[in-house]
Parts: sequence; C-alpha cells; structure tokens
Amino acid sequence: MAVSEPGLTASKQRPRADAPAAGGSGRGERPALRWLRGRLPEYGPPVYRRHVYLQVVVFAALMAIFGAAFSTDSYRLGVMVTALTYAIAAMGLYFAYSLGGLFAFSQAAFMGLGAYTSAKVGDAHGFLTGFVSAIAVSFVVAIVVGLILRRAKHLYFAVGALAVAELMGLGFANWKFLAGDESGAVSGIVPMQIGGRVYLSAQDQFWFVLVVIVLVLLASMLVERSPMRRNAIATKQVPLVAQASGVPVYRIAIMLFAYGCALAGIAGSIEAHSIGAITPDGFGVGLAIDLYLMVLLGGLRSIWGPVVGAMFFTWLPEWLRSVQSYETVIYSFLLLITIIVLPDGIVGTLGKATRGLIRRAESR
Amino acid sequence: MLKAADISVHYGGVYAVKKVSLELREGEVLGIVGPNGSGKSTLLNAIGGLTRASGSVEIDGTAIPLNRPARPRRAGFLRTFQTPQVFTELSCIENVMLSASDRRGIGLLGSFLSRPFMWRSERVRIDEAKAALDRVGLGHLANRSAEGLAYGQNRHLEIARAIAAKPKYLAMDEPSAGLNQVETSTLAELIRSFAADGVTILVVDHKIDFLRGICSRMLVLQLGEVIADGSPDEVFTNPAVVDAYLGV
Repeated sequence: MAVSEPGLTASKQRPRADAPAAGGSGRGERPALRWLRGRLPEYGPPVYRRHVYLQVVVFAALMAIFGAAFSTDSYRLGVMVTALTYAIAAMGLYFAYSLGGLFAFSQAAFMGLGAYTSAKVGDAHGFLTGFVSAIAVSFVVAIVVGLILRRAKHLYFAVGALAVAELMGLGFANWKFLAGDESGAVSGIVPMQIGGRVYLSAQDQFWFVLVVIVLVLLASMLVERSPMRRNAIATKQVPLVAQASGVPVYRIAIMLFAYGCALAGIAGSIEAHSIGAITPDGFGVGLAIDLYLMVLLGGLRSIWGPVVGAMFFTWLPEWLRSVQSYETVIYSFLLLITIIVLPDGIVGTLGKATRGLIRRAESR
Repeated sequence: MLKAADISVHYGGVYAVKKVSLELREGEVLGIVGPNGSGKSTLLNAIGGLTRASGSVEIDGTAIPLNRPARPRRAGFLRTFQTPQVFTELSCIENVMLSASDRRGIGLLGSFLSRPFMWRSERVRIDEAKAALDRVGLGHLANRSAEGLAYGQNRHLEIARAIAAKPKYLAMDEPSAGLNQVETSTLAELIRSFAADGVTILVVDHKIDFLRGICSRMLVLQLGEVIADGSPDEVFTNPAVVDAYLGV
C-alpha cells in the first residue's frame, strides 16, 4: 500500500539519523559488545539498545577501585556502606515514583519494616533468613497497601502512604512483638553473616553491600528491560488512555510499588545488620524526604539517578566537615543550587549533555 | 455487533448526550456528524468507558460495564482521540507496542522468571508494532521519541496504536481534524483499507466529503439526540438535517 508520510512538512525532512538502519549499531558499535545489546531487531524500544548490563559492570568496577584504594580507611568505607544502602532504598523509590508515578512517602517506613523484620527473624534464625524475610514481608505488605490505595491518585496516594508510614512507625515503637526497649529501639542485632563467614569490619561490610547492590542493580535492569517500563511510563503519563489501550494500569503500579518496597526492605535489613541497632525515629518522615531528595538530585529519568543522588547526598556533608559551623548553611545552599542549575538531576543533565555531544559529532 | 442503548451523559443539570442508542453492525463504517457541542465525542467517550455515563453497552452479545476503560478494549473496541493522545516520554514504536494484541509476559514475573517467554512475545510485539507503523506511513520513525512529532503524525501514531491491537471495532474521534486535503484523502484510503480487512469502524467527524467517501451509514446528532440515521445520501437530503446541521 502506497501511503505517503502524513503530516511531514518540508521543514521536517532533514537527513534522518533516526532511520532504522542507523538504529542501534550506527554509533560504531563493537561486535564484541553486541551480545550485551540484546537479541532484537534494530528497531524496538530504545532501552533494549542500551548497554545496561555494561553500565552495572562499570559501576561495580568503580566501586571496587574505591574499595581497594581505601581498604584501610574504615571511616570512608563506612560512609560508602551508608551511601550504598541509601542508594538501594532510593532505587526502590525510582521504581515506585519515577516509573510507577506513586508518591511513595512510605519508603522510609518500609525500610524500617525490613529492618525490624530482619532484626527479629535474624535474632532467631540467623542473618540470611532475616534478610530474605525482610524482602518477602516488605513485598507482601506493599501489595496489600497498594491494593488498598490503588484508586488514590497523586497527592491522595501520598497522604495514604504517609498514614501507612505513621502506622508502621507506631508499630515499631509500641508493638511488643517487635519492640526492643520502651522506645522501640533494638540493639545487639546479629551482624551480616553467610555460611559461617561474619561481615563485621567496615571492609567486609563494604564488599558485602557492594555485592548486594550489584545484584539489586542486575535485577532492576531486568525490570528496566521489560515491558513493565513502557507500560509504567504510559500509566503515569495518561492513565485513562493507557487503560483504553489495554495496559493493566493498577497491576503495573502495584507491582512497581511492591518491587520498590522490597528494595526498601533490603536496604533496611542491611542498615539493621551493619549498624547493629535501630530506632523507630530512624525511619521517619525525615528519611522519607531525604530519599526523595536523592532521587530528585540524581535525576528521575534513569535508574542511575537515585544511585548518584544517594552518593552525592551522603558524601556532601562529609566533604563539608572542614567548614564546621557553616556546614548546614552551605549544604542547604548547594542542594538548592543543584536543583536550580540541574533541573533534570545530575544524571539527567549529564545524559543530555552527552547526547548533545554525540549529535554534534554525528552531524559533523 | 456493538449495541449502545439509552446512553446518557450529563454534567450538572445539562445533558451532553440524552438517551442515545446506536448499533454498529459488523463490517460497516458508521459516521456520526453533528454541530459542535452536539455530544459526538461525549458519546464516544461514554461507549469507551472514559466518561461517567448511564445506559448499557453490549459488544458481540456481552454486556460491557460502563465507566471502565479497560473493558471495551478487552472486547476488541479500540479508539483514537479528538486531541491525539500520544505518550511523549516513549518512542513511537513503544507507543504502538502498548496496545499489542499479545499481552503475555508483561508483568514482574515475566521480567524475572520467564524471560525467554517474555522475549518471544516481545519480539512478536515489536514486529507487529513495526508493521502497524509501516501501514500508517510512520515506519521510518519507529525508533524516534514521540515527542515533537507533527500534528498529523501524532494522529497516525494513534491510529497505529489502535490497529496494533487487532481491533474488531475501531472508533475514531475527528481523525481528519487538522489535516490538509491530501492528508485527508490518504486517511480516507487508509480507513477504507481497514474496512476491507473486516474492521468495523465508527468515525466522528466534521468533513462531509470525507465521511461521504468512507461511510456506509450515517447518524446525525443534535443537542445530544439522534435526528437522522441512514445512508449518506438519505441523511444529507433529510430536511431536519439540512435545517439543523447544514443551516441552509
């Protein structure tokens, strides 16, 4: 059937860098890397043509270099453990919020749920069982919460999630089954341990958490490279139209929320077992807002946004130690400036700049 | 057959659509015309489950609950919108893949545990989406972001999304709006080709010549009520229509 190009005016007919032939292999891709690209034709969702697994390898390598360089610096390794833990929780928020469009102000509370579950179960059955049950409990509770709030939109979901978070906070503080002492603080939590090997020192904890975050990243890349992603983005943008096209909007949003909460559970479990003590206040609204800040600082459009955001957020106060009493003021200003100067987040802005450079190189 | 009976939509005390019934018979192209504000789009939205409405809709003998946009889709009813509804954060091909007829392996389970299965379905979805894009003449834009497409391209992208679902019933809300004459005749040809494939089509539009060229039956709405129903020739010689719509 001979159909002309509808609506293509003369001004739009520039030479096409986007023609199928130039698709994914146009940028001088090495054959050795092609297997990383997925087994798909040259047209298809752009995410299938990105080297997402390679990105994880690069991240792991960078972190390994850091770990080797500071192998005797327990303090820096400890800060990095915190950063990586937050990165996992913030990544969960990426799925619930950036993809799922849900204002998941409950993320910190789900971290707490993971921490308390893991501490309680870990006490009786060892770290690994505690860790796994933290994931399972967060996931299942999130599905229930998601089902209850499934018709709540935008800020209404936020309010609902906040209420759930408050309830959980009350539970951590007062539920005798979970609570440690009167205030709900639990201490003396078993350290991370697998097969008789105990990860107690900062070095050990760093390498352990690095392995965990790499596994989380790989699992998350599987979700990124799946129909979930486009369905989620469509659901977020115009839910009614997505629904009329056949996207199961409630299921998608609930599953992304649950996956995000499972990541919060992982982060909570790691926090509990690496520090050894938890308090209900540690998983309050303050942390919930911090996690949001990490995602916004890093960038909403990429899974690397929350990772970079968490790094930035955790390391910035450390670098500002030298200015002492002005720390808070300078810190707030830097956050403000970052948000104003980089509205797409750190990763978003870098990505845009790179794409601009590539385009310029191609047009030359 | 798609049967809508006594569809009413009111906003406050004002009826936008008042007890309209229509039958969409298999294989036909039904055109709905009427002045602005006569309730054409609202009627379509009501049948599609996007507007709070009362009445009943039945597709192929199955009752379809109103106000549930997912249900008509499941029964094979797809539609395009008056203002093109395109997901600008996705590429063109992803926009089309959203409504793919093969819906397997799209959940969390598919992305973790049954990936080979997911990929198999996904490859079919990609090929079908590409075919749908080719059919409406947007194949070369498959990999491009849907952001910044020209108006007419948005319209055609929507049509591609609708036909990728292999619809039995295709409803189009003012598909020719904003298109020039050449584009409109191309669109008419495209719609005739869908009809030739056996798709039953419902078109809401303003351009009389365009509708005459594609419709086998027409319905005229005025102030939310049907005032004429018949072949294009019958309808346009109907004095009530001439009075109300053409304003001669």
